[in-house]
Amino acid sequence: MKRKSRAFFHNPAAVTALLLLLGIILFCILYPFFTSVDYREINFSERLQLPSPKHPLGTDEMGRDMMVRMAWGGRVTLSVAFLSGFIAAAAGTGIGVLCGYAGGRIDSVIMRGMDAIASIPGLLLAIVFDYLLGMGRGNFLFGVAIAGIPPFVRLIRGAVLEISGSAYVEASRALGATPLHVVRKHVIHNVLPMAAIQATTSVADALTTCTILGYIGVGINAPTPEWGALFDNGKYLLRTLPHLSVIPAVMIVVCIICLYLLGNGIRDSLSIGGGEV
Amino acid sequence: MNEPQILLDVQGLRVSFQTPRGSVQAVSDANFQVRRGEVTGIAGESGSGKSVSAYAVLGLLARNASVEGGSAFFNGRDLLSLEEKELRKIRGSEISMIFQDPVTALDPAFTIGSFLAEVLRSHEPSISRREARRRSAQMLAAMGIPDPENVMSRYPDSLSGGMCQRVCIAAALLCTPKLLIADEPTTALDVTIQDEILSLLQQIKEEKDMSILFISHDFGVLARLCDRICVMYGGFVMESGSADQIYHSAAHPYTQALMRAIPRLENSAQEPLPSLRGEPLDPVRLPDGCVFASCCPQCSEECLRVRPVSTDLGEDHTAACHKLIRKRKKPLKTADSML
Amino acid sequence: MFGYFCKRILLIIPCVMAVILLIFMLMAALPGTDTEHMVPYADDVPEQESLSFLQQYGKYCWRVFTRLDFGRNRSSVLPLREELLVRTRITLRVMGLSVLATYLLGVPLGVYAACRRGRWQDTLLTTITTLLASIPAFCISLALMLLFAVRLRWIHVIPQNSVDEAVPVVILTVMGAANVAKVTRAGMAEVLDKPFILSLTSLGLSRRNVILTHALKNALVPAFSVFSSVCAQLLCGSIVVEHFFTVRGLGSAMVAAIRSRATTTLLACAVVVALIMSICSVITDLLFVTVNPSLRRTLRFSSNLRRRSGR
Repeated sequence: MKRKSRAFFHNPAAVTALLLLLGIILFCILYPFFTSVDYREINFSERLQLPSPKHPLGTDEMGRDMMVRMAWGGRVTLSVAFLSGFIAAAAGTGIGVLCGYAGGRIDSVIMRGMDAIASIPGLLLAIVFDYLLGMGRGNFLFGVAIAGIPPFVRLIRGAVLEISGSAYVEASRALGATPLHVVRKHVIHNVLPMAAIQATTSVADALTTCTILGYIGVGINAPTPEWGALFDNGKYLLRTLPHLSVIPAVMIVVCIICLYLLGNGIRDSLSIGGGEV
Repeated sequence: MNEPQILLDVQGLRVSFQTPRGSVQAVSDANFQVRRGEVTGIAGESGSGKSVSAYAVLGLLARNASVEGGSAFFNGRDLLSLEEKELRKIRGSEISMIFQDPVTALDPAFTIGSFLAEVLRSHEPSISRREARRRSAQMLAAMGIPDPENVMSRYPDSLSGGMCQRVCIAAALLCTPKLLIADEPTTALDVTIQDEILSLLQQIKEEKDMSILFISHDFGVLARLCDRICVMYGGFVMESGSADQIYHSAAHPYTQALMRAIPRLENSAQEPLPSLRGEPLDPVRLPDGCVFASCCPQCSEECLRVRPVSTDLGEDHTAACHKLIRKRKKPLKTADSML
Repeated sequence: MFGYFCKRILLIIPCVMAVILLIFMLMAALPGTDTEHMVPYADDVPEQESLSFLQQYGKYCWRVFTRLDFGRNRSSVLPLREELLVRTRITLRVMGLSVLATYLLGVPLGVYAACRRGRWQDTLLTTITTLLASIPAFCISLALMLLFAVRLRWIHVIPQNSVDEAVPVVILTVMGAANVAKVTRAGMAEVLDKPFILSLTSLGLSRRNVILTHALKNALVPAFSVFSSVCAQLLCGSIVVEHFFTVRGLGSAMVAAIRSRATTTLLACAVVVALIMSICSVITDLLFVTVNPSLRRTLRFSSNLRRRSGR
């Protein structure tokens, strides 16, 4: 394990991505504490300003400071993305291990269910959840999380099946290891790194879905900023003030690239080749 | 002219692989010949470079492998220096190859019939569809496949392993090549099917006067088929000679050890087979001396320092061993002193 | 074969009915849903309210399948059918064109990357496709608009001519092609390592022939197995792109319905989406059988082709 983490920290791309991501998160958490400007503060006398020392990223059509709104938007977007990504990871890993290890009827029933969920586009699932559970309260988070579960279950289940069929597990079982011991000692140990890689993907997917929902105006209600919603706001001023839409878009893309590089870094440090479909 | 001509003459072949651990010398200065109408066997354990040598001859090496030197003359042309385009014309029509696992050697998405027709048409573009079909069926029948028309309309995954190997051999022989390279063609098959395929190869050799380069690690199989055998270890040719010489008067300590390790009926079952002590070869760091030195029971100090060259033992029997070089030198010296 | 596909096509009806039932049940069961909005027919409200849950469901299904009648919203006079037909046609045209372009672009790119695997071309393509496949559609839209509309001024920000109308197709194609290229590359790379590639080469087939006929036909299996998920991705993408370019398609109808909480419209949209997705799934199976002949035999025994092939 030590050797693997060293390999990870010797990968410049992965380390840069990690630092950048941590930087963005810290900015989103801390910036609002260091400024007196409120993200809801409307000031028509300062509307549509270009970046200046007072407003580092300019202001929007209602004179609200973009920097604060970006930080607040980041809080919302990233917490939704990470939370639903982690829910998907936890549930997916659990169900995957269960399916792979239990097999039989439980496995086939759960996998049918997973096929059904996977056949519904994630965005629609999120919209439906949001609509049915009450809009504007972040309920789409559960939809995003559920949509992220099937790929996890498939990956983990496949890995578990492979591991539990391998000779060393058979041998340890022949030596009298209990199922619990096998799962703890062999299965979890081998499956966790794969789950970590998949988790970066699912957080990235959740981020995408979350911003899309914000963008089409379905996710979080209006006064609370969200990166996708901020982008939508700025879109109408594309010609005159492109930075209003470019900045949220760039932030989203940077986060997704970072997550991708992070996943790649973990994969490389474990030297798990290919297998990404 | 009773002396059989040399059809394929490989001299000083060197192949190396680029791996994450470094460059691996898979074949080092290998020499071997295939004569017209004869079966030449290449024997050796896995990793000894026997398959790689054959792949190199046909230009089929993996992308991380490269031929570093040597020549492979076939019909007066050096295959190793030919353009890919020229080599393509030779493959299948003059030299064909059959592989270890026949089931995966066939494209699962095409029927046997269209596969065979495609092989024919890639060498004889003017051939008609019907003619191609007729000749394919004829060839399948010659390979002992009952009901060729039925087999031709089927996909490889509905055929058995032995059947697939027959189809592969049919495809390889479709354009009547002069040389067939068989890369462990029976390893993946059941023992009974193995026997049938070997009989088939024997029959082809006799009927069509074909030369075969037969690669195997199984001396039992080699003994049945081969006229000449070439023993490889660690990418070097250790010994080569007629099958008789190899089996009955093996000169190299490695070959001798191999011969002792073949289970024989006359030996009692309790007696364990002799095994070699010593370390297996690390292909990334070949030793300075003889590659077999670390396992050799007759290793001397010279063996660890200097690589032995191939010595002629007479009657086309050669071996690379210091012990034999010393033996050869002695009579030569006495001849000198007599003068 | 023929019988199998007839069965598959007929199975679309129970599938769509199941979707309707699911939504009906969710609406009835979950808190937070305004039950008043549940009634799909505004014109016969008194009658509706006297009907039981199952009766309402049956009536809705009957009308949808026999007359394509989706009812109408309280706020509007026009029946939903006309509007939905127009909007679905717009969305389907954009989606169909981009699905076609996606495969025409994605498969060659994937094949190229697989043939150059391990070299810089492969690394570059893999990185780009992975990123494009995971970046939200509006970011791609923005980048294209900044380049072509703001900087180069080739197209208009608000669509005005046929060139502008092709822009959504281009954006969806970029997204879909990235995904297809990724899958094709993986499949192709796997096929190229198979022994039969070597065996075909050893028989004197040209490299071109080996790659474009034999390897490709095998690599198309994974590429086509994602057909329906690519369709789903493009359908979701079209919601975003329609919003970006203010196209009056199915996606924007859905967004508008959510915003105004027009349950009838949303339900109708869901039915149409379910219908489109079911048809895509049948097409996937059809494509599958054309490229993978050995599946024709297993067809009779299996209800789900894609599961069989291990995707």
